[in-house]
Amino acid sequence: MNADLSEIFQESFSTNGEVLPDEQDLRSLDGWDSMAHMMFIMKLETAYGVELTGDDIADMQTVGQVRETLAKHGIKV
Amino acid sequence: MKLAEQTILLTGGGGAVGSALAEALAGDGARVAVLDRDEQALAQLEQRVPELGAYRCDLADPEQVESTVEAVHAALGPVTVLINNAGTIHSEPLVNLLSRDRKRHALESWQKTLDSNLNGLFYITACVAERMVTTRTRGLILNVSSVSAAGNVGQSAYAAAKAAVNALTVTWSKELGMFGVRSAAIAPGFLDTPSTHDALSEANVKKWTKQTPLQRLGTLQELTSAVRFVIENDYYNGRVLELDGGLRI
Ligand SMILES: NC(=O)c1ccc[n+]([C@@H]2O[C@H](COP(=O)([O-])OP(=O)(O)OC[C@H]3O[C@@H](n4cnc5c(N)ncnc54)[C@H](O)[C@@H]3O)[C@@H](O)[C@H]2O)c1
Repeated sequence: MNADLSEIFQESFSTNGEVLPDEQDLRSLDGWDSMAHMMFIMKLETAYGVELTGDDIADMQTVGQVRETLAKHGIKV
Repeated sequence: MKLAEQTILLTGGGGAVGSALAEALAGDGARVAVLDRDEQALAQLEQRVPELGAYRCDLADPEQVESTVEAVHAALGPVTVLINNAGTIHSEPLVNLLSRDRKRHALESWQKTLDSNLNGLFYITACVAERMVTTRTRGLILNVSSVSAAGNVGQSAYAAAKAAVNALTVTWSKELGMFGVRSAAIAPGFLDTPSTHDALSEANVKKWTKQTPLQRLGTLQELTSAVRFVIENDYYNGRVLELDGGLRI
């Protein structure tokens, strides 16, 4: 996970900026709630200049899936 | 008002807050009737506090409300304190991008949340207040609101219902004051109850605890002491007592 993505996680879910493992489920992060999750999506879109579809968003349940979805849009993180 | 001289009708008596209040107020010597739509919870409460009158009633149904208030009057005489405590915490964002299919707040949960927290409160207060006013019985309408009335993220229906409860509290204090009927509310922050832990993830409970200046959840004893204060202080009217440890949402 590159620095930007860690920062987005930190800003959205109050993680402490550590690199999260791919298998980390977003919903089990301490700072997770549905509003924080939506904030996370908006921050991803702004930071990487991408518009995520409904399916993309629903597919992003783990850190690994976030990376895979961004990769689908040509963004390597 | 002297607590021991009151006839109290308490809604939502089967829940965490309601059952604690019912037990405490009955212990203070008041005559207490509780109503709830949850028959099992009522039965458990009756076992613990046999001196209570327990009535099964769904507040969302005006006819059930009417007949229950009638039955309470027949059994206990005029109600002098109505505690509108029934309610359901519900969290759901207006638009949920995370949901694959339905993204909009469901109309059904909007309606249910308003029925549970607002409509029932209106029906029963109209019934009880009419009796108070027409029989010139001095009394108190005490509504249980919430810190969420200020507008809480992810709680459109619940926040709207509780904000309306605050508005009704002020309106009724102005309409009923001349008859010696007070109207007040208590707006708790987050209390340490099963309902809080059911409605919020543990992470969220931690987050709200951290945001509360006193760094802890409120207790049922603290809520009970606020209820006693409002009942006993005859000059407390038309206000919402905020019992939230200083939390601002
Ligand atoms: N627990 C908290 O932290 C907290 C914080 C702020 C406000 N409140 C308010 O306190 C009140 C009590 O909450 P609680 O924590 O005891 O919740 P609870 O879920 O334990 O109890 C609520 C009770 O209300 C009853 N009820 C709901 N809708 C009803 C209806 N239509 N007809 C009849 N009964 C109905 C339920 O059956 C239940 O027994 C609610 O109004 C809630 O909004 C609670």
